[in-house]
Amino acid sequence: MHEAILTTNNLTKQYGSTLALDGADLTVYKGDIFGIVGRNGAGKTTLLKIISGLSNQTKGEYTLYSETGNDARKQRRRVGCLINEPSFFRNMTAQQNLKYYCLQKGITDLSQIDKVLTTVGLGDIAKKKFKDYSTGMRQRLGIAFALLDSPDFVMLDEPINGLDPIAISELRETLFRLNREREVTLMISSHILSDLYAVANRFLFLEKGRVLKLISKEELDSECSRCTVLRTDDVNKTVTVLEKIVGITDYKVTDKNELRIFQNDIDTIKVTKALVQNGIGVASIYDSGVNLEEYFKQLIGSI
Amino acid sequence: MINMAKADLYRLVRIKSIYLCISAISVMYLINLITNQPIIITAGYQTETLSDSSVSIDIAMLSCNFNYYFLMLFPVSALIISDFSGGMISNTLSSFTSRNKYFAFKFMFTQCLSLVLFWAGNSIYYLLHLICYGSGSSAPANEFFRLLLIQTPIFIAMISLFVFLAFLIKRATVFNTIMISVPILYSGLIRLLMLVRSTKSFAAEHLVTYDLTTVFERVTRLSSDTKYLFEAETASFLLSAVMFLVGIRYFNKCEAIRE
Repeated sequence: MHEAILTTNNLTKQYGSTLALDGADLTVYKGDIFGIVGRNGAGKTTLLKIISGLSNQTKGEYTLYSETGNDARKQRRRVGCLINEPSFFRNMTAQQNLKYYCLQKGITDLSQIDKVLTTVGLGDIAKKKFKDYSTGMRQRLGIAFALLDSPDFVMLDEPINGLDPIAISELRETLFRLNREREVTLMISSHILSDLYAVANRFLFLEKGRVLKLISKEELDSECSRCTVLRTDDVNKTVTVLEKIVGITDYKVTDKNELRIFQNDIDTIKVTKALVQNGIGVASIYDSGVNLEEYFKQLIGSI
Repeated sequence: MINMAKADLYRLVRIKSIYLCISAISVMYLINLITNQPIIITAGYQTETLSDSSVSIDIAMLSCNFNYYFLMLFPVSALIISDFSGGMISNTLSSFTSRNKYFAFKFMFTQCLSLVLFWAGNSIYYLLHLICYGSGSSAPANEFFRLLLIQTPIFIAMISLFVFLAFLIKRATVFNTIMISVPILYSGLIRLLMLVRSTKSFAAEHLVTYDLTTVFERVTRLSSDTKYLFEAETASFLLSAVMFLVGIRYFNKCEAIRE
Protein backbone atom coordinates (compact mmCIF):
# COMPACT_ATOMS: atom_id res chain seq x y z
CA MET A 1 0.00 0.00 0.00
CA HIS A 2 1.40 3.37 -1.06
CA GLU A 3 1.62 6.14 1.51
CA ALA A 4 -0.51 9.12 0.49
CA ILE A 5 1.43 12.38 0.67
CA LEU A 6 -1.36 14.66 -0.47
CA THR A 7 -5.09 14.09 -0.74
CA THR A 8 -7.56 16.74 -1.77
CA ASN A 9 -11.26 16.52 -1.14
CA ASN A 10 -13.65 18.68 -3.17
CA LEU A 11 -11.06 21.45 -3.34
CA THR A 12 -12.75 24.51 -4.81
CA LYS A 13 -11.58 28.03 -5.47
CA GLN A 14 -13.72 30.87 -6.70
CA TYR A 15 -12.40 34.30 -7.71
CA GLY A 16 -15.50 36.49 -7.85
CA SER A 17 -17.74 34.83 -10.41
CA THR A 18 -14.93 32.72 -11.88
CA LEU A 19 -14.63 29.15 -10.70
CA ALA A 20 -10.89 28.54 -10.93
CA LEU A 21 -10.98 25.11 -9.33
CA ASP A 22 -14.16 23.05 -9.15
CA GLY A 23 -14.21 20.28 -6.57
CA ALA A 24 -10.82 18.72 -7.29
CA ASP A 25 -10.22 15.29 -5.78
CA LEU A 26 -6.81 13.72 -6.12
CA THR A 27 -4.22 11.72 -4.25
CA VAL A 28 -0.47 11.91 -4.63
CA TYR A 29 1.42 8.89 -3.33
CA LYS A 30 4.95 8.73 -1.99
CA GLY A 31 7.39 8.29 -4.86
CA ASP A 32 5.03 9.60 -7.51
CA ILE A 33 6.01 11.98 -10.24
CA PHE A 34 2.57 13.47 -10.52
CA GLY A 35 1.88 15.51 -13.64
CA ILE A 36 -0.88 18.11 -13.78
CA VAL A 37 -1.88 18.80 -17.35
CA GLY A 38 -4.17 21.56 -18.51
CA ARG A 39 -4.40 24.53 -20.77
CA ASN A 40 -3.69 28.07 -19.59
CA GLY A 41 -6.31 28.96 -17.01
CA ALA A 42 -7.29 25.34 -16.39
CA GLY A 43 -6.63 25.66 -12.65
CA LYS A 44 -3.15 24.10 -12.36
CA THR A 45 -1.52 27.03 -10.60
CA THR A 46 -4.60 27.61 -8.45
CA LEU A 47 -4.38 24.03 -7.18
CA LEU A 48 -0.68 24.40 -6.39
CA LYS A 49 -1.23 27.80 -4.79
CA ILE A 50 -3.84 26.42 -2.42
CA ILE A 51 -1.65 23.54 -1.33
CA SER A 52 1.36 25.80 -0.93
CA GLY A 53 -0.61 28.28 1.18
CA LEU A 54 -0.52 31.18 -1.24
CA SER A 55 -4.26 31.07 -1.70
CA ASN A 56 -7.15 29.96 0.48
CA GLN A 57 -9.66 27.48 -0.87
CA THR A 58 -13.30 28.53 -1.04
CA LYS A 59 -14.51 25.00 -0.27
CA GLY A 60 -13.07 21.58 0.45
CA GLU A 61 -9.92 20.56 2.22
CA TYR A 62 -6.60 18.86 1.68
CA THR A 63 -4.55 16.42 3.69
CA LEU A 64 -0.79 16.78 3.67
CA TYR A 65 1.19 14.01 5.33
CA SER A 66 -2.02 12.80 7.01
CA GLU A 67 -2.69 16.22 8.54
CA THR A 68 -5.51 18.59 7.67
CA GLY A 69 -6.27 22.25 8.38
CA ASN A 70 -3.69 24.13 10.44
CA ASP A 71 -1.71 20.97 11.06
CA ALA A 72 -1.35 20.47 7.30
CA ARG A 73 0.06 23.98 7.07
CA LYS A 74 2.76 22.99 9.53
CA GLN A 75 3.74 20.12 7.24
CA ARG A 76 4.59 22.60 4.47
CA ARG A 77 8.08 22.75 5.86
CA ARG A 78 8.58 19.36 4.24
CA VAL A 79 7.46 20.69 0.89
CA GLY A 80 9.59 22.57 -1.64
CA CYS A 81 7.73 24.85 -4.02
CA LEU A 82 8.19 26.82 -7.17
CA ILE A 83 4.90 28.55 -7.94
CA ASN A 84 4.52 30.98 -10.85
CA GLU A 85 7.69 32.29 -12.39
CA PRO A 86 10.83 32.20 -10.23
CA SER A 87 11.11 35.41 -8.20
CA PHE A 88 14.27 36.51 -6.47
CA PHE A 89 16.04 39.70 -5.45
CA ARG A 90 17.42 41.15 -8.65
CA ASN A 91 20.50 42.78 -7.19
CA MET A 92 21.61 39.71 -5.31
CA THR A 93 23.51 36.75 -6.73
CA ALA A 94 22.04 33.25 -6.86
CA GLN A 95 24.15 32.31 -3.86
CA GLN A 96 23.06 35.36 -1.86
CA ASN A 97 19.42 34.77 -2.73
CA LEU A 98 19.58 31.18 -1.53
CA LYS A 99 21.49 32.24 1.58
CA TYR A 100 18.67 34.68 2.34
CA TYR A 101 16.14 31.83 2.20
CA CYS A 102 18.42 29.52 4.19
CA LEU A 103 18.55 32.14 6.95
CA GLN A 104 14.81 32.55 6.73
CA LYS A 105 14.21 28.81 6.99
CA GLY A 106 16.77 28.47 9.77
CA ILE A 107 19.00 26.17 7.71
CA THR A 108 22.38 26.13 9.37
CA ASP A 109 24.17 23.93 6.85
CA LEU A 110 24.93 26.56 4.21
CA SER A 111 26.97 24.07 2.18
CA GLN A 112 23.71 22.85 0.67
CA ILE A 113 23.47 26.13 -1.27
CA ASP A 114 26.35 25.02 -3.49
CA LYS A 115 24.97 21.47 -3.61
CA VAL A 116 21.53 22.49 -4.92
CA LEU A 117 23.08 24.99 -7.33
CA THR A 118 25.30 22.24 -8.70
CA THR A 119 22.32 19.88 -8.90
CA VAL A 120 20.50 22.31 -11.21
CA GLY A 121 23.63 23.17 -13.15
CA LEU A 122 24.20 26.67 -11.82
CA GLY A 123 27.34 25.87 -9.85
CA ASP A 124 29.61 27.82 -12.20
CA ILE A 125 27.49 30.96 -12.31
CA ALA A 126 26.39 31.07 -8.69
CA LYS A 127 28.00 34.48 -8.21
CA LYS A 128 26.14 36.09 -11.06
CA LYS A 129 23.35 38.50 -10.14
CA PHE A 130 19.79 37.27 -10.63
CA LYS A 131 18.99 40.17 -12.97
CA ASP A 132 21.69 38.95 -15.35
CA TYR A 133 20.26 35.42 -15.53
CA SER A 134 18.48 34.15 -18.63
CA THR A 135 14.93 32.75 -18.35
CA GLY A 136 16.26 29.20 -18.23
CA MET A 137 18.79 30.04 -15.52
CA ARG A 138 16.06 31.71 -13.48
CA GLN A 139 13.91 28.64 -13.83
CA ARG A 140 16.75 26.46 -12.60
CA LEU A 141 17.40 28.77 -9.66
CA GLY A 142 13.71 28.43 -8.80
CA ILE A 143 14.11 24.67 -8.76
CA ALA A 144 17.25 25.01 -6.64
CA PHE A 145 15.21 27.07 -4.18
CA ALA A 146 12.54 24.37 -4.07
CA LEU A 147 15.21 21.80 -3.26
CA LEU A 148 16.62 23.71 -0.26
CA ASP A 149 16.29 21.90 3.05
CA SER A 150 15.98 18.51 1.28
CA PRO A 151 12.19 18.39 0.99
CA ASP A 152 10.31 15.06 0.69
CA PHE A 153 7.74 16.55 -1.64
CA VAL A 154 8.43 19.14 -4.35
CA MET A 155 5.78 21.06 -6.30
CA LEU A 156 6.92 22.74 -9.50
CA ASP A 157 4.63 25.00 -11.50
CA GLU A 158 5.52 24.86 -15.18
CA PRO A 159 9.24 24.30 -14.56
CA ILE A 160 9.91 23.61 -18.23
CA ASN A 161 8.82 27.09 -19.34
CA GLY A 162 11.60 28.98 -21.01
CA LEU A 163 14.07 26.10 -21.07
CA ASP A 164 15.90 25.09 -24.23
CA PRO A 165 15.75 21.42 -25.33
CA ILE A 166 19.06 20.52 -23.71
CA ALA A 167 18.05 22.21 -20.48
CA ILE A 168 14.73 20.34 -20.57
CA SER A 169 16.56 17.06 -20.97
CA GLU A 170 18.93 17.96 -18.10
CA LEU A 171 16.02 18.98 -15.92
CA ARG A 172 14.28 15.70 -16.67
CA GLU A 173 17.40 13.83 -15.57
CA THR A 174 17.58 15.93 -12.41
CA LEU A 175 13.96 15.18 -11.58
CA PHE A 176 14.44 11.45 -12.20
CA ARG A 177 17.55 11.48 -10.03
CA LEU A 178 15.76 13.26 -7.19
CA ASN A 179 12.87 10.84 -7.44
CA ARG A 180 14.97 7.68 -7.57
CA GLU A 181 17.96 8.52 -5.42
CA ARG A 182 16.42 10.79 -2.81
CA GLU A 183 12.86 9.40 -3.03
CA VAL A 184 11.48 12.88 -3.56
CA THR A 185 7.82 12.91 -4.54
CA LEU A 186 7.23 15.41 -7.33
CA MET A 187 4.14 17.25 -8.47
CA ILE A 188 4.73 19.07 -11.75
CA SER A 189 2.32 21.14 -13.78
CA SER A 190 2.56 21.84 -17.48
CA HIS A 191 0.34 22.64 -20.42
CA ILE A 192 2.43 20.37 -22.63
CA LEU A 193 1.47 16.72 -22.14
CA SER A 194 4.44 15.35 -24.07
CA ASP A 195 6.85 17.14 -21.72
CA LEU A 196 5.15 15.66 -18.70
CA TYR A 197 4.78 12.26 -20.31
CA ALA A 198 8.57 11.97 -20.36
CA VAL A 199 8.83 12.26 -16.58
CA ALA A 200 5.53 11.61 -14.82
CA ASN A 201 4.04 8.27 -13.80
CA ARG A 202 0.55 9.61 -13.01
CA PHE A 203 -1.43 12.34 -14.71
CA LEU A 204 -4.21 14.68 -13.69
CA PHE A 205 -6.05 16.40 -16.52
CA LEU A 206 -7.65 19.72 -15.64
CA GLU A 207 -9.90 21.91 -17.74
CA LYS A 208 -11.86 24.97 -16.62
CA GLY A 209 -11.10 24.08 -13.02
CA ARG A 210 -12.57 20.59 -13.30
CA VAL A 211 -10.69 17.33 -13.00
CA LEU A 212 -11.22 15.54 -16.32
CA LYS A 213 -9.22 12.44 -15.62
CA LEU A 214 -6.69 11.01 -13.20
CA ILE A 215 -4.76 8.14 -14.79
CA SER A 216 -1.50 6.29 -14.58
CA LYS A 217 1.06 6.23 -17.35
CA GLU A 218 0.07 2.64 -18.24
CA GLU A 219 -3.56 3.67 -18.54
CA LEU A 220 -2.59 6.64 -20.66
CA ASP A 221 -0.54 4.39 -22.94
CA SER A 222 -3.47 2.02 -23.20
CA GLU A 223 -5.89 4.83 -24.03
CA CYS A 224 -3.60 6.21 -26.68
CA SER A 225 -2.95 2.86 -28.35
CA ARG A 226 -4.80 1.62 -31.49
CA CYS A 227 -8.22 0.31 -30.61
CA THR A 228 -11.91 0.38 -31.43
CA VAL A 229 -13.94 2.50 -29.06
CA LEU A 230 -17.44 1.22 -28.41
CA ARG A 231 -20.08 3.27 -26.59
CA THR A 232 -23.30 1.55 -25.60
CA ASP A 233 -26.13 2.02 -23.11
CA ASP A 234 -25.25 -1.14 -21.15
CA VAL A 235 -21.60 -1.99 -20.85
CA ASN A 236 -22.17 -5.19 -18.82
CA LYS A 237 -24.46 -6.73 -21.43
CA THR A 238 -22.06 -5.54 -24.13
CA VAL A 239 -19.21 -7.46 -22.51
CA THR A 240 -21.32 -10.64 -22.46
CA VAL A 241 -22.30 -10.29 -26.11
CA LEU A 242 -18.72 -9.53 -27.18
CA GLU A 243 -17.28 -12.53 -25.34
CA LYS A 244 -19.98 -15.12 -25.97
CA ILE A 245 -21.38 -14.19 -29.37
CA VAL A 246 -18.69 -12.22 -31.24
CA GLY A 247 -15.74 -13.92 -29.54
CA ILE A 248 -13.77 -10.81 -28.57
CA THR A 249 -11.73 -11.11 -25.39
CA ASP A 250 -9.05 -8.40 -25.70
CA TYR A 251 -10.93 -5.38 -24.46
CA LYS A 252 -11.03 -2.98 -21.54
CA VAL A 253 -13.97 -1.20 -19.94
CA THR A 254 -12.90 2.44 -19.70
CA ASP A 255 -16.12 4.11 -18.59
CA LYS A 256 -19.65 3.16 -17.48
CA ASN A 257 -20.74 3.41 -21.13
CA GLU A 258 -17.49 2.84 -22.93
CA LEU A 259 -15.10 0.03 -23.67
CA ARG A 260 -12.05 -0.30 -25.90
CA ILE A 261 -11.36 -3.32 -28.04
CA PHE A 262 -7.69 -3.90 -28.74
CA GLN A 263 -8.16 -6.85 -31.11
CA ASN A 264 -7.12 -5.98 -34.67
CA ASP A 265 -9.37 -6.13 -37.74
CA ILE A 266 -12.67 -6.57 -35.99
CA ASP A 267 -15.80 -6.50 -38.13
CA THR A 268 -17.61 -3.45 -36.74
CA ILE A 269 -20.81 -4.25 -38.73
CA LYS A 270 -20.92 -7.73 -37.20
CA VAL A 271 -20.33 -6.34 -33.71
CA THR A 272 -23.04 -3.66 -34.10
CA LYS A 273 -25.55 -6.17 -35.44
CA ALA A 274 -24.89 -8.58 -32.58
CA LEU A 275 -25.31 -5.85 -29.99
CA VAL A 276 -28.51 -4.46 -31.51
CA GLN A 277 -30.01 -7.95 -31.86
CA ASN A 278 -29.43 -8.44 -28.14
CA GLY A 279 -31.27 -5.23 -27.28
CA ILE A 280 -28.19 -3.07 -26.62
CA GLY A 281 -28.28 0.55 -27.79
CA VAL A 282 -25.06 1.45 -29.66
CA ALA A 283 -24.16 5.10 -29.36
CA SER A 284 -20.97 4.93 -31.39
CA ILE A 285 -18.29 2.62 -32.64
CA TYR A 286 -15.07 3.96 -34.13
CA ASP A 287 -11.39 3.31 -34.58
CA SER A 288 -9.12 5.20 -32.20
CA GLY A 289 -5.44 5.48 -31.53
CA VAL A 290 -4.02 8.87 -30.93
CA ASN A 291 -0.86 10.68 -30.07
CA LEU A 292 -0.66 12.53 -26.78
CA GLU A 293 -1.65 15.85 -28.27
CA GLU A 294 -4.73 14.40 -29.95
CA TYR A 295 -5.64 12.54 -26.81
CA PHE A 296 -5.46 15.76 -24.82
CA LYS A 297 -7.58 17.57 -27.41
CA GLN A 298 -10.17 14.77 -27.40
CA LEU A 299 -10.31 14.84 -23.64
CA ILE A 300 -10.89 18.59 -23.56
CA GLY A 301 -13.40 18.28 -26.38
CA SER A 302 -15.37 15.72 -24.40
CA ILE A 303 -16.59 18.29 -21.89
CA MET B 1 10.71 35.38 13.58
CA ILE B 2 14.38 35.46 14.62
CA ASN B 3 15.28 33.61 11.42
CA MET B 4 13.27 36.06 9.36
CA ALA B 5 15.01 38.96 11.10
CA LYS B 6 18.41 37.41 10.38
CA ALA B 7 17.47 37.01 6.73
CA ASP B 8 16.15 40.55 6.37
CA LEU B 9 19.22 41.98 8.10
CA TYR B 10 21.37 40.03 5.65
CA ARG B 11 19.41 41.56 2.79
CA LEU B 12 19.22 45.02 4.32
CA VAL B 13 22.89 45.81 3.72
CA ARG B 14 22.35 45.01 0.03
CA ILE B 15 19.38 47.32 -0.51
CA LYS B 16 20.32 50.50 -2.33
CA SER B 17 17.25 52.44 -1.23
CA ILE B 18 18.26 52.10 2.43
CA TYR B 19 21.54 53.85 1.62
CA LEU B 20 19.56 56.40 -0.37
CA CYS B 21 17.34 57.00 2.65
CA ILE B 22 20.34 57.45 4.97
CA SER B 23 21.92 59.81 2.41
CA ALA B 24 18.72 61.88 2.21
CA ILE B 25 18.54 62.15 6.01
CA SER B 26 22.22 63.15 6.12
CA VAL B 27 21.78 65.79 3.40
CA MET B 28 18.74 67.22 5.17
CA TYR B 29 20.61 67.64 8.45
CA LEU B 30 23.76 68.79 6.70
CA ILE B 31 21.89 71.66 5.04
CA ASN B 32 20.42 72.56 8.41
CA LEU B 33 23.83 72.53 10.05
CA ILE B 34 25.33 74.70 7.31
CA THR B 35 22.50 77.22 7.10
CA ASN B 36 21.38 76.90 10.73
CA GLN B 37 17.81 77.05 9.46
CA PRO B 38 15.14 74.36 9.86
CA ILE B 39 14.55 72.33 6.72
CA ILE B 40 11.01 71.37 5.89
CA ILE B 41 10.14 69.08 2.98
CA THR B 42 6.39 69.17 3.45
CA ALA B 43 4.04 71.52 1.65
CA GLY B 44 1.87 71.48 4.77
CA TYR B 45 1.29 74.13 7.41
CA GLN B 46 4.14 74.60 9.81
CA THR B 47 4.97 78.18 10.26
CA GLU B 48 4.59 79.02 13.92
CA THR B 49 7.71 77.32 15.23
CA LEU B 50 9.77 78.29 12.24
CA SER B 51 8.96 81.95 12.75
CA ASP B 52 9.34 81.81 16.53
CA SER B 53 12.84 83.11 17.30
CA SER B 54 12.62 82.03 20.93
CA VAL B 55 12.75 78.39 19.86
CA SER B 56 16.23 76.96 19.36
CA ILE B 57 17.06 75.69 15.88
CA ASP B 58 17.44 72.07 16.97
CA ILE B 59 13.96 72.09 18.54
CA ALA B 60 12.60 73.84 15.42
CA MET B 61 14.20 71.11 13.36
CA LEU B 62 12.66 68.51 15.65
CA SER B 63 9.22 70.02 15.05
CA CYS B 64 9.84 69.51 11.31
CA ASN B 65 10.02 65.74 11.78
CA PHE B 66 7.15 65.29 9.38
CA ASN B 67 10.06 65.25 6.91
CA TYR B 68 10.43 61.59 7.88
CA TYR B 69 7.07 60.93 6.26
CA PHE B 70 8.75 61.14 2.86
CA LEU B 71 12.03 59.59 3.95
CA MET B 72 10.44 56.51 5.48
CA LEU B 73 8.79 55.57 2.20
CA PHE B 74 12.18 54.10 1.20
CA PRO B 75 12.43 51.40 3.90
CA VAL B 76 8.73 50.49 3.65
CA SER B 77 9.05 50.07 -0.09
CA ALA B 78 12.28 48.12 0.21
CA LEU B 79 11.14 45.77 2.98
CA ILE B 80 7.51 45.12 2.04
CA ILE B 81 6.52 46.31 -1.42
CA SER B 82 9.56 44.74 -3.09
CA ASP B 83 8.46 41.34 -1.75
CA PHE B 84 5.08 41.75 -3.43
CA SER B 85 6.12 43.38 -6.68
CA GLY B 86 9.06 41.02 -7.17
CA GLY B 87 6.95 37.99 -6.22
CA MET B 88 9.39 36.91 -3.49
CA ILE B 89 6.55 36.73 -1.00
CA SER B 90 5.44 33.48 -2.65
CA ASN B 91 8.82 31.93 -1.81
CA THR B 92 8.43 32.85 1.84
CA LEU B 93 4.78 31.97 2.30
CA SER B 94 4.79 28.78 0.25
CA SER B 95 6.79 26.64 2.57
CA PHE B 96 7.57 27.84 6.01
CA THR B 97 5.89 30.99 7.23
CA SER B 98 2.26 31.62 8.08
CA ARG B 99 0.63 34.82 6.93
CA ASN B 100 0.13 35.96 10.53
CA LYS B 101 3.81 35.54 11.28
CA TYR B 102 4.83 37.20 8.05
CA PHE B 103 2.66 40.27 8.64
CA ALA B 104 3.62 40.56 12.31
CA PHE B 105 7.30 40.24 11.44
CA LYS B 106 7.22 42.80 8.63
CA PHE B 107 5.21 45.17 10.84
CA MET B 108 7.70 44.97 13.68
CA PHE B 109 10.84 44.86 11.57
CA THR B 110 9.82 47.91 9.55
CA GLN B 111 8.94 49.72 12.79
CA CYS B 112 12.31 48.82 14.29
CA LEU B 113 14.30 49.87 11.25
CA SER B 114 12.34 53.11 10.90
CA LEU B 115 12.74 53.87 14.60
CA VAL B 116 16.49 53.28 14.39
CA LEU B 117 16.72 55.70 11.47
CA PHE B 118 14.45 58.22 13.22
CA TRP B 119 16.26 58.16 16.54
CA ALA B 120 19.74 57.90 15.06
CA GLY B 121 19.05 60.73 12.62
CA ASN B 122 17.73 63.06 15.31
CA SER B 123 20.32 62.10 17.91
CA ILE B 124 23.31 62.49 15.60
CA TYR B 125 21.90 65.78 14.37
CA TYR B 126 21.52 67.03 17.95
CA LEU B 127 25.11 66.11 18.78
CA LEU B 128 26.48 67.70 15.61
CA HIS B 129 24.42 70.84 16.20
CA LEU B 130 25.74 71.03 19.75
CA ILE B 131 29.31 70.63 18.51
CA CYS B 132 28.87 73.19 15.71
CA TYR B 133 26.88 75.87 17.54
CA GLY B 134 27.56 75.25 21.21
CA SER B 135 25.22 74.73 24.12
CA GLY B 136 24.04 78.38 23.97
CA SER B 137 22.29 77.79 20.63
CA SER B 138 21.10 74.27 21.44
CA ALA B 139 18.34 72.97 23.64
CA PRO B 140 19.31 70.98 26.75
CA ALA B 141 19.76 67.31 25.92
CA ASN B 142 17.02 66.17 28.31
CA GLU B 143 14.54 68.60 26.72
CA PHE B 144 15.46 67.54 23.15
CA PHE B 145 15.20 63.82 23.89
CA ARG B 146 12.00 64.27 25.94
CA LEU B 147 10.39 65.88 22.91
CA LEU B 148 11.78 63.18 20.63
CA LEU B 149 10.26 60.57 22.93
CA ILE B 150 6.91 62.39 22.78
CA GLN B 151 7.05 62.29 18.99
CA THR B 152 7.86 58.57 18.88
CA PRO B 153 4.28 57.18 19.23
CA ILE B 154 3.15 59.52 16.43
CA PHE B 155 6.02 58.30 14.28
CA ILE B 156 5.11 54.66 15.06
CA ALA B 157 1.48 55.34 14.09
CA MET B 158 2.66 56.86 10.81
CA ILE B 159 4.81 53.81 10.02
CA SER B 160 1.92 51.49 11.01
CA LEU B 161 -0.24 53.24 8.45
CA PHE B 162 2.53 52.88 5.86
CA VAL B 163 2.87 49.15 6.55
CA PHE B 164 -0.87 48.60 6.31
CA LEU B 165 -1.08 50.53 3.04
CA ALA B 166 1.94 48.68 1.66
CA PHE B 167 0.19 45.34 2.28
CA LEU B 168 -3.02 46.74 0.82
CA ILE B 169 -1.57 48.36 -2.31
CA LYS B 170 1.29 45.94 -3.02
CA ARG B 171 2.57 47.95 -6.00
CA ALA B 172 5.55 50.28 -5.65
CA THR B 173 4.50 52.90 -8.17
CA VAL B 174 0.92 53.12 -6.87
CA PHE B 175 2.10 53.19 -3.25
CA ASN B 176 4.67 55.92 -3.83
CA THR B 177 2.30 58.00 -5.95
CA ILE B 178 -0.44 57.86 -3.32
CA MET B 179 1.87 58.48 -0.38
CA ILE B 180 3.60 61.44 -2.01
CA SER B 181 0.51 63.03 -3.49
CA VAL B 182 -1.75 62.78 -0.41
CA PRO B 183 0.08 65.38 1.75
CA ILE B 184 0.42 67.69 -1.25
CA LEU B 185 -3.28 67.41 -2.06
CA TYR B 186 -4.15 67.75 1.63
CA SER B 187 -2.25 70.99 2.06
CA GLY B 188 -3.52 72.19 -1.32
CA LEU B 189 -7.06 71.66 -0.09
CA ILE B 190 -6.35 73.65 3.06
CA ARG B 191 -4.95 76.54 1.02
CA LEU B 192 -7.91 76.41 -1.33
CA LEU B 193 -10.42 76.47 1.51
CA MET B 194 -8.65 79.41 3.07
CA LEU B 195 -8.55 81.32 -0.20
CA VAL B 196 -12.19 80.68 -1.01
CA ARG B 197 -13.46 81.75 2.38
CA SER B 198 -10.80 84.49 2.67
CA THR B 199 -10.83 83.83 6.41
CA LYS B 200 -9.92 80.62 8.21
CA SER B 201 -12.88 78.34 7.68
CA PHE B 202 -13.97 75.75 10.21
CA ALA B 203 -13.17 72.92 7.80
CA ALA B 204 -9.75 74.32 6.98
CA GLU B 205 -8.91 74.73 10.65
CA HIS B 206 -9.87 71.14 11.32
CA LEU B 207 -7.82 69.96 8.39
CA VAL B 208 -4.85 71.88 9.76
CA THR B 209 -5.38 70.43 13.25
CA TYR B 210 -5.32 66.85 11.98
CA ASP B 211 -2.48 67.44 9.52
CA LEU B 212 0.44 65.24 10.54
CA THR B 213 2.74 68.23 10.03
CA THR B 214 0.78 70.13 12.63
CA VAL B 215 0.69 67.19 15.02
CA PHE B 216 4.49 66.82 14.93
CA GLU B 217 4.88 70.54 15.45
CA ARG B 218 2.30 70.92 18.20
CA VAL B 219 3.49 68.04 20.35
CA THR B 220 6.93 69.58 20.18
CA ARG B 221 6.01 73.22 20.65
CA LEU B 222 3.08 72.77 22.99
CA SER B 223 4.39 69.80 24.95
CA SER B 224 3.02 71.42 28.13
CA ASP B 225 -0.51 71.28 26.66
CA THR B 226 -1.33 67.98 28.32
CA LYS B 227 -4.83 67.69 26.81
CA TYR B 228 -3.58 67.96 23.23
CA LEU B 229 -0.65 65.72 24.04
CA PHE B 230 -2.91 63.08 25.57
CA GLU B 231 -5.22 63.17 22.55
CA ALA B 232 -2.34 62.92 20.08
CA GLU B 233 -0.61 60.08 21.91
CA THR B 234 -3.84 58.14 22.46
CA ALA B 235 -4.84 58.52 18.81
CA SER B 236 -1.36 57.33 17.81
CA PHE B 237 -1.54 54.21 19.97
CA LEU B 238 -5.03 53.46 18.70
CA LEU B 239 -4.07 53.97 15.07
CA SER B 240 -1.05 51.68 15.47
CA ALA B 241 -3.15 48.94 17.07
CA VAL B 242 -5.94 49.27 14.51
CA MET B 243 -3.50 49.18 11.58
CA PHE B 244 -1.89 46.05 12.99
CA LEU B 245 -5.15 44.22 13.63
CA VAL B 246 -6.90 45.27 10.41
CA GLY B 247 -3.72 44.59 8.44
CA ILE B 248 -3.24 41.08 9.78
CA ARG B 249 -6.91 40.26 9.18
CA TYR B 250 -6.83 41.67 5.67
CA PHE B 251 -3.61 39.85 4.79
CA ASN B 252 -5.05 36.56 6.00
CA LYS B 253 -8.01 36.90 3.67
CA CYS B 254 -6.39 38.39 0.59
CA GLU B 255 -4.51 36.70 -2.23
CA ALA B 256 -0.84 36.85 -1.33
CA ILE B 257 0.34 37.11 -4.90
CA ARG B 258 -1.24 38.84 -7.83
CA GLU B 259 -2.96 36.76 -10.46
